[in-house]
Amino acid sequence: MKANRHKLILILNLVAVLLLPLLNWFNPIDFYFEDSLAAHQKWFPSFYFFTYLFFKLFFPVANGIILYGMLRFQFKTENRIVFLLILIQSMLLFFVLQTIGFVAASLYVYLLLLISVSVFAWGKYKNEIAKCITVAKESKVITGGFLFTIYITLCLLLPRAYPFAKYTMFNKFSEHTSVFLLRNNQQELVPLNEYSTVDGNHLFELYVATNEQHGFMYLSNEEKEVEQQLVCKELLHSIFADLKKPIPFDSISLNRIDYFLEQNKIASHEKQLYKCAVE
Amino acid sequence: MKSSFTSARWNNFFANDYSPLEWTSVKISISSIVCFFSIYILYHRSTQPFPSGICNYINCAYVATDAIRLPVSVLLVLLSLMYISEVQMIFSTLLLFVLAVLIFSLDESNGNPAENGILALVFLAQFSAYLQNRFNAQSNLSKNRMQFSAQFFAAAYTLSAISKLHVSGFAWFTDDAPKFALEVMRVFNSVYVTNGLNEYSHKGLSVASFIIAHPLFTKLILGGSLLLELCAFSLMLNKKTAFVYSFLLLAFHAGIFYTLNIFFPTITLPLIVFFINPLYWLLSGAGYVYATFVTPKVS
Repeated sequence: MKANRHKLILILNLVAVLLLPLLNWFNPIDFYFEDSLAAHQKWFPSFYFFTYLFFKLFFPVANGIILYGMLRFQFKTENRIVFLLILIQSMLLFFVLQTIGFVAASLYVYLLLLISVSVFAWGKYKNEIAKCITVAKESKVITGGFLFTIYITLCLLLPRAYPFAKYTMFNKFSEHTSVFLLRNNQQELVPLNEYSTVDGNHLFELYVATNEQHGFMYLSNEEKEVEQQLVCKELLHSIFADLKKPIPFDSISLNRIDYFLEQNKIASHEKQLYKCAVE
Repeated sequence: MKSSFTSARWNNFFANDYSPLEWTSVKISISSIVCFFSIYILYHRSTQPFPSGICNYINCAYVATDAIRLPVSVLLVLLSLMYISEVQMIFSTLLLFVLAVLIFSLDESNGNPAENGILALVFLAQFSAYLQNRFNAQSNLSKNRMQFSAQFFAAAYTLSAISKLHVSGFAWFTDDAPKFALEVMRVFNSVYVTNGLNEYSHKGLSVASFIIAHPLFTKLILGGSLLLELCAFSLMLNKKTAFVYSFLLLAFHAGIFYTLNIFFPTITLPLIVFFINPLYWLLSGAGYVYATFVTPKVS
């Protein structure tokens, strides 16, 4: 049990990190802390960068400094590495929680206090941390999850900058989904791989990326026909940017099939989005 | 070579240590995978229509131009050979990481977000391990270069779970479960519009109908997969746990492949390499056969 103490502590920390975001829907009042740079730009046109930095850094830094101060007082001066580790870990953890939800971050503080005071008692908790680090160093099997924490933090802060990503794979199942397809003037399906290197799945991703690049609403009731025509024109351009062979049709249209659930059955509806003559 | 083969023991695999043969197998496998995907991207992506990451600041498409892609491919192969041969590891891992980030960012900038997984990061993890060893010779290099990489795998799955819980909450596998059928329809019909083969459309409808007809089963499967992602930190605990857990994750990917016809090679292949290491088993088996049947026994 003693040898596995560091694993137990790590698991407890991870469970705390993973479970607390579930409480996120408790009506957060934290939009200043959570919102994007663009939102701050709207609220504080002149000082948006400073307000954004202030709200993003305030709690992580405060949490780090408080823990650092407490541990420094407890450990006196002989464990500087431990201080540094605690400071960095607590700041990173707070960054993660704050990015997930400010409520989660504040609940973490309560949980930390609860664990510190009532479960371990402060002195014991202090010893646990020291032992945890010592055992982790001695066993050399586990690496403390340091890169794990840093990577999760950076992925949440920089979700669209490879090698960082939010890994949003199917994180929301929509009320309806769509498939894009090409039809010729006879209204027959034109298989994409006969003429283009773009496949159906990639076409959907291109559609999403193009709409987001323009800032258009898409796949919802708020989408506008004019905007969607512009997007589809660009999509057709992408599809046929590198033609495998000449297109033998007079005209071609980009259609969208929407799938949705109706009385517990799958229903579909096809709509022509854009039609053009083949030059 | 003989000593390397004969020293490999089947039971060493779970000893929470990494033999030179295991490390060499990982290096050969992972550098081959990275080279394959990188060269594929260099020869299939010539523009960056949706710049993301580093491509916002530099033109990543430059590395995929006709004049540059061949030298870049050669450089990748040379660096991989240096890496496999354990030559200048700090330099080779760092340069491999930089090149991989540049090339995979180019792919991401072509409307393929988060599809290149953590391939580049394994080099960063190994660079960190070698750098740490340079400054602290006491650090356990043989474990760190593997364990550091394992943390990125665990993080990727955990992030995926966090994303689901953050966006959809528990409803992801409870109330929203029947809507999973719509995603199935979309993915299978995307294949149908690509190749025009009706069978994909039929298969999509068949899987989607099954999902709608068996809501409890669907909820259990989705809940199980979410739990699997949430507990991905088990990959960091020890070698044996990671080995068993990687099979569970592979089963999870097999399930995704069956229901959604989607395969994530950039996550699945490195997962197999790092936690199951088939090349190691192959070489160990070959070493065992060589030592038992080929080498003359000394009485």
